[in-house]
Amino acid sequence: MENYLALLVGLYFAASVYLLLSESLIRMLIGVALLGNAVNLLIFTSGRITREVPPIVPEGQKAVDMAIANPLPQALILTAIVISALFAFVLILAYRAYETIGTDDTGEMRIAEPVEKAQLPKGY
Amino acid sequence: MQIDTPEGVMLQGPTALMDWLVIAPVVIPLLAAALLIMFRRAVMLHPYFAVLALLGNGAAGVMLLWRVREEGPLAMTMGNWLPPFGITFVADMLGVILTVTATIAVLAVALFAMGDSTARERRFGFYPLLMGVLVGVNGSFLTGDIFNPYVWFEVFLISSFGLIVMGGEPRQLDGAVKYCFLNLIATTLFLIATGFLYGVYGTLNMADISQIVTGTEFTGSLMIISGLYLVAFSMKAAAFPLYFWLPASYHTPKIVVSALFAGLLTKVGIYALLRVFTIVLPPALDSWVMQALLYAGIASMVVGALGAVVQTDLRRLFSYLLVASIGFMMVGLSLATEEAFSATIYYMVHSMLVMTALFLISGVVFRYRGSLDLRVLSGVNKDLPFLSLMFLVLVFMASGFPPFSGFWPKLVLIGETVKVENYAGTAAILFSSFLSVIALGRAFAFGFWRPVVVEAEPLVAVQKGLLTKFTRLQYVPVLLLVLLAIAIGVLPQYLFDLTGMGAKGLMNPAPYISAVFGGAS
Repeated sequence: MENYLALLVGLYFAASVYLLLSESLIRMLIGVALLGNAVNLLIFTSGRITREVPPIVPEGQKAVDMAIANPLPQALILTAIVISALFAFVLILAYRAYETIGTDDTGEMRIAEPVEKAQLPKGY
Repeated sequence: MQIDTPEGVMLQGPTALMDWLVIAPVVIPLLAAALLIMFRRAVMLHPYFAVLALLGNGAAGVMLLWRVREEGPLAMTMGNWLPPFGITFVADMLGVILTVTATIAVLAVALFAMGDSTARERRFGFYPLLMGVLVGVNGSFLTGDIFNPYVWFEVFLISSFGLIVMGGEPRQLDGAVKYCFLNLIATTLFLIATGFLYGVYGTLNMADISQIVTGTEFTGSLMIISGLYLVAFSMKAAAFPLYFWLPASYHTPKIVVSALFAGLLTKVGIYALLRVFTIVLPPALDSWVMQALLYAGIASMVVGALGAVVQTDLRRLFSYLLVASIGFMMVGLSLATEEAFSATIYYMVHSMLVMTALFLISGVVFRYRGSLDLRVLSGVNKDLPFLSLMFLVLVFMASGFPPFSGFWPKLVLIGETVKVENYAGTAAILFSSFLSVIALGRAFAFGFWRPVVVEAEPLVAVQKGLLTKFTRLQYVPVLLLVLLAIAIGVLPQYLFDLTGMGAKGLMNPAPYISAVFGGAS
């Protein structure tokens, strides 16, 4: 099972890297979203896939004495999912940038770094 | 009701009151940020409250520094779950020095913003976001869990996203897009590495990982994890060849925000490199990772300084100098000797103070002259002689003239490169410093010393009276930073004592580990 998931994670990464290399802001956004999912799946897989019971301590005992599912990767993923809500900010930012600058092509977004040759002052 | 907890896994009894000090530099600004948001209508009180909280935070930081100096690393366990299960906060010398310095830099920024932020910006949440950045940065410096910095990185990223777009001009949005994408990707790379690390070693506690990894071969999975960390943190630190986002974005936000970013954010990347490749993954210390760091550092120094020489915009010039200064720290880390680590930590403190001060000075100049373009900027010295003097002192500091603060760490680093017969490093340090002298000296000669060539036109906001008129108040934070930097330059032995302790802690993780596992009660 892990092997198939590892392959899937690799596929996700390949797709997201391909999208991130694009010049279009929209594709890059999809790439970032995909990258986040790839990482979540990676953490899930690295916590080992088991068909065990949930990690709940039975009544009257202080610890479980049988094999249980590992809850930590899920906690990590949950944190990562909550934080990836940051994606919403980037979406809005990209939209505002598109509205204000008038392009979603990163090659043309040169307002902060103009291409024109600097006219150096005399004696510079 | 008495909850029955298994012994050996959970802490019995509450955390000792004094141990709360370990987390105070994170909790105080976090509470302050929450309170500032609650009272968002009282915008006129925001700066005073923020400064008060920062002073409190500074005091807590200094107390912590004192305790760490006397007792060695201190650890605190969250939620009473003993390590390696719970999340641990560890205050060691390296983390505490940087925490205190970061608080000082933010304090200077908060003081500067008193006369520089409009009521609109304060309603938009300038001060809470400022606090948020400090929360994230301090959290990264103090945590003892390898997943935890991911959360803290995101905390300061969210806050910095809010700050970088404040104003909403096209230029700012353009810079913000690049800043956001690159930083998100860097943080995700870090998360990937951490996922692998957990999969391989089954633990996330830094001290625990250190124990498992020590003595193992640097091959296979460990190599891949280290490589990912190297790329992720170098991207955060803006080291060659992953620095392009920094000069593309740092000159776009409000100047006071630039100052904050320049002082704090890239250093978190360097801190993470220092921490991960010494305490967490010690086998990396004698592997190709150090070679990679060395060459990336050399390239950052040279490229950053060359970039600074051709810039005509004062803030972009400083941005490139920041890239060059990252190079110095990376070379210091790559040498992997105790003296070199000590000089690296010293250089981080120096860079935090000096870079913040340089950007703040450019803020005063911009507001007063309406431009930072060295083609038109001129004659600042005539109107603002004291400011020019402070700028000149900062020029000396940043380019490393004795007896100022930049000189000592560079001297030690040169000595160390010669000792390990790494003459490429020596040459790069000297060449980069030489170019910095040219770039900064020329900035002074053109912008400050030259007679007026174009009449000054203060900012529209200043003319309309939207901002309080230019006040001497803005000299205070700059002067504070300059005086501190002079102090550590003239009397370097005190800071070197502390950074030496920090370096010793990095060379020998045993006290760190025993603080986590032994002193957890």
